[in-house]
Amino acid sequence: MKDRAEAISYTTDRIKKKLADLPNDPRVPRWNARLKEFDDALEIHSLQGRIDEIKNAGNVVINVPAGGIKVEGQ
Amino acid sequence: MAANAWAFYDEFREFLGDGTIDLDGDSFRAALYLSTSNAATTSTSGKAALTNEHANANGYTTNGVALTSVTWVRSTVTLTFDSADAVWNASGGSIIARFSVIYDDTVTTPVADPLVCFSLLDNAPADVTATDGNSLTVQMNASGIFTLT
Repeated sequence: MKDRAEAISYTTDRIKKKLADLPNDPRVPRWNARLKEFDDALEIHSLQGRIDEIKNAGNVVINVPAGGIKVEGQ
Repeated sequence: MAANAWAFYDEFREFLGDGTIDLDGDSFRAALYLSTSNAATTSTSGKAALTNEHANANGYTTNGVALTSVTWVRSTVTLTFDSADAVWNASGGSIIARFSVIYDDTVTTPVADPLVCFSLLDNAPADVTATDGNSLTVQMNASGIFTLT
């Protein structure tokens, strides 16, 4: 999950840099469309992470300490 | 929430000594019991004598779950009984329990399913609850379920 988010973030940064460097490039509409696509993907990714977090928050783990029996002479 | 250490039933000490219970040969199960159960009465003999097991519902099946990866290992003077964790997944409602009990599922005589040990899962004391869609894990300690020294 984290890797995917990082990959999207990295690609998004690259597109933003292109938009800043080449504001009059004919590919600007395509880059903007791509950026929107990634924004949506990031939002879905973030929501999915939150859903997983909420789902797992209710899990209960009880660690039971070990018991012990001693055998001793009198 | 803190659980009490596994405590032993009277008959377990007897059956361990006379060989009725074979810790590295028998099958063992973990079951869940309600606050109204007599699970903490150590003189109770055999699983059938325990009262108020969790209902056969909400992801819990009567008689509990089989313990897997059961080991009985000696290291110099210490013997350790251990297994993988016991896990239930609440489905269709909550799993609510006060005690977990481990019993021998192999032995049939002199008593069927002799009791090994129990734990009060929240020593407040209180029930533990896994709501619908969540799991309840009785995690065996890193030191094992119990040791004999």
